Amino acid sequence: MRAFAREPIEIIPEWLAATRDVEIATGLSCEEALLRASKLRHLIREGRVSPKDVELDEEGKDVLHALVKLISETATKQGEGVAREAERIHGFLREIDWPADGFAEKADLLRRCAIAGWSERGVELDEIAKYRHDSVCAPDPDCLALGEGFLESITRGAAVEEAVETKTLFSAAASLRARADDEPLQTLKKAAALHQWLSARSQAVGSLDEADLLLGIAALWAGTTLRISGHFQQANRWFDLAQERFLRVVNSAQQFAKLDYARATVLYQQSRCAELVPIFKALRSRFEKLGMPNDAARAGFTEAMTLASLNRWGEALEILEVLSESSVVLADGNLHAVVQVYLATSLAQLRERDRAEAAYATALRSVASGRHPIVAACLKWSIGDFYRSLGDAARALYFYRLVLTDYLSIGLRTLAAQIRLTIADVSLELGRDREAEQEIVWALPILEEEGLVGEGLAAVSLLKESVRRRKTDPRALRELREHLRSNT
Amino acid sequence: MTTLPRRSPAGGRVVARRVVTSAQLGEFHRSLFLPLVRRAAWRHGLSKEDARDVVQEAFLLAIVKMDPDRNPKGWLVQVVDHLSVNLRRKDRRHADLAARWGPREFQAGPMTPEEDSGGL
Repeated sequence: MRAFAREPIEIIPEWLAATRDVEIATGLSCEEALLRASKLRHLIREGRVSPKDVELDEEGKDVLHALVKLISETATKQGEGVAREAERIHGFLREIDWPADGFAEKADLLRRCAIAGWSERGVELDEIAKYRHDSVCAPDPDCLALGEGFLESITRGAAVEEAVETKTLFSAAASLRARADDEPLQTLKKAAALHQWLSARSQAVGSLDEADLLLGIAALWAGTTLRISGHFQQANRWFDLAQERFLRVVNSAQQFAKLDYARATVLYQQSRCAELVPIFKALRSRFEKLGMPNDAARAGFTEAMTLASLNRWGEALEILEVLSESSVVLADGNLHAVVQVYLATSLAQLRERDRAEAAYATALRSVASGRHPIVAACLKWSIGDFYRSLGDAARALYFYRLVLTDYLSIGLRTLAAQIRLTIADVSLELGRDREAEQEIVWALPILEEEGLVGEGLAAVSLLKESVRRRKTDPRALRELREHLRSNT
Repeated sequence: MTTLPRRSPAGGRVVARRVVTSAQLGEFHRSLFLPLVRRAAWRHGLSKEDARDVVQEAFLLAIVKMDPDRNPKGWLVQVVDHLSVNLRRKDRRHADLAARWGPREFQAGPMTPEEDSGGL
């Protein structure tokens, strides 16, 4: 039975054969379901029924579908009070426990109910999407400060007033977005706190689907910060939570595009580049169609990084040259800096050394003028790689050490451990074996503690043994670095 | 669920055949068939009978065309949606044509005895 639950699709031929000559039950007729739904609607209006009273058998599900159809049709015909009723029914449906919902029926009902409610308020669905996008992606400084203050309070566990305005919550979401790149660990704490706070609320948040939207955004940013700090499995779990919430949101094309982008960046960091080039290209055009130029630029940049990982430097350079001159990138300090880094790296790979050095200098200036430690670290890592590819290991080592300092200063232990392995590799090249051993001795416990290396990984045992004998095995070190690149 | 080997009608190759219990068919009915019927009925406004036919047609297509490794539930949902929309479009076109060109009794109810006798 368990095997069946995993793959019910395989049973289709048997099902068709078994039902060839018999009557197939299809649940309540539409008429009967509508009749029962109008009674349920009446009971909900009078507060005489609780979500726990709903029997979720096949007939009960038909009645709930009929209820949503009733409210949708009323919304298009009448008007007075229907928005409030849609909100009440939305709240009622949200409380119903719907086990084994393989087709996301509950999410579908909630979304249709929300559409009825929003339409009834006289707002176009596109306007809602635009308002939400602007609130989160282009807030004014006052809003950011408001959101920041709110997030600080709930993260500290301080008492927050019960009735929080939706605007404050959108500002909090905007603050998560603004800080995720620079302060991933703090942003993770805040996103998780916001998610927990919203989940635990007994009082409704916003109207209709706003609670689901905000929960989805909080989960998305929690996942994104985990992805930035190298915890991909946990990141994907948060993305699953976000997806579950966004399914219930009306007009959620923008949210799903962002979620798809976030998932694709995880695959990128797991080095699954070949399959990602068309995905990022498609995402870029999807963002453009949805009127999200910042996200389109980011997708374009990630596409270029993917091409670079596949050694398709010429194609990467074409994209980066266009991006580096676009107004969206010039206005975004973080993005401008990383685009310059990759532009320089692409030029370096294409043997245009002078242009590469000039681009690195621009990138360093751009990073120095901002406060983006992660971008600065990435830039220095790339400069290190650049000098290493030119055979200048000593200068590469200097930049790798700067990267280590940056990661340690912002508390990203996993990434710090990974750069330590790179430093060890270069130190061995330079004949500084003792320094290499020391870096490995510092890095390995952190990687093991974070679960990034499996217990049975031969490279780790070999490396430990070689360090113990004070004769570091460079092949084991390289294998471990390859393993980390593909698994973290 | 157990799997028994079976010789294919073409001969030679041995293919797997499932032995499915009635409990499993019942579970299939609840977890796959009915949600799709509800979708066709409530989302696309079909009668339950039409919805049932649409889902069965989707299953027939699935045997031939579906790739079980690529989100089979998503595939089924999409096919059910397309078939439902097609059916509604066909019904609407039929109703339009009947309204414009159909026999008069179709538009205005049954004919009177005089009309029926050809006006004699």
